[in-house]
Amino acid sequence: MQHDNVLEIRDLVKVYKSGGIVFGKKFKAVDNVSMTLSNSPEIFTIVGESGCGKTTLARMVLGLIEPTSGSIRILGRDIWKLSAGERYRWLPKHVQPVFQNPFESFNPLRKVSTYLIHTAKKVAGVEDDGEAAEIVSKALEEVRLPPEVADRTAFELSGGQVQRLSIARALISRPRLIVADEPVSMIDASLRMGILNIFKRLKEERGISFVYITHDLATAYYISDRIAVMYKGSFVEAGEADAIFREPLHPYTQLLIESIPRIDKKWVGKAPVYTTDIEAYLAAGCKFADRCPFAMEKCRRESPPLIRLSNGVSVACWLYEKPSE
Amino acid sequence: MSRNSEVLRVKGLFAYYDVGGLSVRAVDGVDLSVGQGEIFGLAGESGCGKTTLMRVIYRDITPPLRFLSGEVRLRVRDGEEVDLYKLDQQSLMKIRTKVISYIPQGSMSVMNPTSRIKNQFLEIFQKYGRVNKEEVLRQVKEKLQELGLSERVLNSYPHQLSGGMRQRTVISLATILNPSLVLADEPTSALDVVYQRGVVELIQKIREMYRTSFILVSHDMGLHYQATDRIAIMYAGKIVETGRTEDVFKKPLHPYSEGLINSIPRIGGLKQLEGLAGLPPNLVNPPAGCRFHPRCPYRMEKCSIEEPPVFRVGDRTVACWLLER
Amino acid sequence: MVAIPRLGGETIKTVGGGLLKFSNSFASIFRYNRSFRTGFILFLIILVLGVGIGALAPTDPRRWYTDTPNRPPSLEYPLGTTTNGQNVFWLLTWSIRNSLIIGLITALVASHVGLILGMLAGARGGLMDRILMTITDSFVVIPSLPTLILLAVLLRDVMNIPLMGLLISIFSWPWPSRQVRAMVLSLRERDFIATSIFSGYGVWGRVLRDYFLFVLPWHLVNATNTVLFAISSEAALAVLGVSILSEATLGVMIYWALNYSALFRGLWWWLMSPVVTIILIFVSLFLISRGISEYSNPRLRWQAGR
Repeated sequence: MQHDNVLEIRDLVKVYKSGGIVFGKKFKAVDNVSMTLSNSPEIFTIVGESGCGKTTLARMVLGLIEPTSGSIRILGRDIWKLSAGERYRWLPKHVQPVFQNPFESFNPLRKVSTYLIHTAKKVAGVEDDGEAAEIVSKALEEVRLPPEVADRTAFELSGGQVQRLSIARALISRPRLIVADEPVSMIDASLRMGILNIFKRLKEERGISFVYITHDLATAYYISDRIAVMYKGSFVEAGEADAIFREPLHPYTQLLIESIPRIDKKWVGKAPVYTTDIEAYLAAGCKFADRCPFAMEKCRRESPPLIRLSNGVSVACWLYEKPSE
Repeated sequence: MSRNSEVLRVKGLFAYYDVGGLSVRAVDGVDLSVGQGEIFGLAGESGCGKTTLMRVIYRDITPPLRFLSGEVRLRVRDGEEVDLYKLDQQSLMKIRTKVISYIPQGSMSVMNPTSRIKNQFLEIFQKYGRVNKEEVLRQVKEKLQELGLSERVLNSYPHQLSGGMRQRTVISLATILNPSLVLADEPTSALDVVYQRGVVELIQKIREMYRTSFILVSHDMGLHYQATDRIAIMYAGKIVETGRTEDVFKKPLHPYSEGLINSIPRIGGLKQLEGLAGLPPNLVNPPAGCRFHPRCPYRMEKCSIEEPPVFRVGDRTVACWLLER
Repeated sequence: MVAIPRLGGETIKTVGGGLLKFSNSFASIFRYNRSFRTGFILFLIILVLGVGIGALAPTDPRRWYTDTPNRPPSLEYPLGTTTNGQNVFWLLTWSIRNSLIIGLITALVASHVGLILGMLAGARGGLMDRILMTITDSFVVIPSLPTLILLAVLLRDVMNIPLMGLLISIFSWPWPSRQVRAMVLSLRERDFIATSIFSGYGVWGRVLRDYFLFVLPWHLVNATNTVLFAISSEAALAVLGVSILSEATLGVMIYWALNYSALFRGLWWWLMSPVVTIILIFVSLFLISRGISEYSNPRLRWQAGR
């Protein structure tokens, strides 16, 4: 069991139908995504703009949305082959979420401590009340919060505090994987580092892997070991974070990195202009072709597969097509 | 800055919220000035009062917000200034949209979904008297062309446009009558990085072509660095530092500015940042003396007793005892 | 299938805590909300009239010819007498009691059945949801008034006050069930439900600790409105002559008054008493339900309080 990969996703697809029964259009929110998180703890970031499918992907991994096809294996078990009851019983022991909006993460009519204690008793399986309280207070220590804070409802606290409580709750069952969907996007800039540093520390000291989902490349740079850039449902580039930031290969990645509002260098040149969204999902060929400054004839005809290059980075772009193929 | 080129001068502005018998001191003694053709950034984190300050400058006062005292002097035409708070309702209505325009937060989501864009433009003109439809549309098309926006937008409904396009339309609507000053509250926070850049470019273009001044409110420091000429940093209802954007970023003088700027991750930068300790203060009962002192790494005795005055350093201002010399 | 929740320590603590919170909320709404206070006091007066004072009736007011017929209101007969020699005042008190019983039974049965089925269907989804909704929709489609009339006639021999309440319940549960289900469905998408799942809460756990709290204000308003609905349904049946004509209910009083052309013959007190009483019950319950709505909706509460 110890040798199983923490997370293994193979050819994952999620199709949504919009419009009516007769004239409805289908679109692939997640289009053939594969990735593996091995046994050694790491922070894997999925970066993309809103609507690219990263949240849908996260929810499938969390067992909340059912995939159309493909498999998701956590510690060797295909979670979508389990019954709903089994999945809801087994999954929280090994995977836990942190959501974007701290104030939506907890029922505003309840004290946060009820969640923490319940997790200790029902997910971590602790019978004794005293022991449960112990575990809860240890988790609060990990996120550097005083114990009284949990005794309130979410609305009585600040966003940063509630987000830390979310993380504390996630820790209680000692999961191998935490899926964090935009965990700091709604937190003040000066408080984000505190929370991201907690993620780093948890990886190093507790051996927890993270799937960190964000649209913010700067925070992605700050904590990622590996990173995947997602565009309209597919990974367009994936690999070691440092390598990709140093030398982004896919034109979309380059566009994203150029567009970050930096605080040390001003933007150069003009912003790109572009058009609608849904059509691109359905078109054949590379989904980025209509916005790509390097688009070739081939790009509009055929969709490039994700190819692994010699430096370890995978790119889905015809620019890097090996000549012999 | 010479008086002649000032478009807005705010002096001693105080405005509180009355909630449950208590006063929330959202704008607690603010002075600032904006020059002609200047893009002025107002930075700060959640709860610092920057949105309230915008509303007060626009004189959008509705209970529970209460205006206490202060002046908002706007230059109406060459050599003529008015204090918005001394005007009667009629004169105020005349000035709005023609001289000063306000784009509230999230406005791209509140455009009338059942009305085509061209009608929304017409409505603005109609507020100022009977209009000749063709004439108005011609002017609008011309303006859109100058700004580099497509005419097709006019016949569309808001939901048919992408987020970035909608926001740029909102900005065009707000500037169609060529106001001298536009107040834009978080104009890009709901947008993805790439769209954001387009919006900033539009604002800069309007400034170049018509010498329009902007006040940009945002919590995104990167946006300020890219888009603004001068910047004011707000904390707990007060302005703690102002100056040219490049100067403030290169060498922040107020400890809060420094903490804020240093907690922003940069690509290629440090991977060990700390962020600020503590929480933003309660505006009902703010800390005595300097409001930032509980979180300040440089605090001295004096800071917890007496509020620092505003010190001038060249063309910058800082409200911090460290500057007393 | 769905496990029946065990009434363990955790549940008892929750219910006990809930009751405490309920009484606190009640005290709070009563103090601060004028609408609720007025409605509640008015309703209390009517209730006391029906239950307390009604118990003091010297004879069974349903019996005919206990008093001189056709007398107008006077000191001796506070609300006059009917053509059948009944004392209108005492008859009214018993009618209030019976109508309220019908209303109460319907509210208890129908709105709670609707609540539980709605929460279950919404929270569970899948097959359970489809089955429940098919059943619900079948009831919605059946025309209620004609069916009620039919059943009232068929059950005429065994009909009594409580049974009338149950009868009206048959058609009153589908609507709340659909409403509650819709509320639960929209709550289900919210992140805190996912947090509950990952904190080890099963379906019943989520129903009790998450959905129920949100649905409760609506449920209270709906229960109050169901009382109204039941009273007026019974009145409708009575006026059509298919209620329990020998019993004392507000509807039956109206039936007999109409039957004997009371208004035409100048015996206005006979018709007006039940009509005005129904109006007062409606008004009081409406004020109560509005008070609850205002209290639970923070914005309305602010407006009401100014």
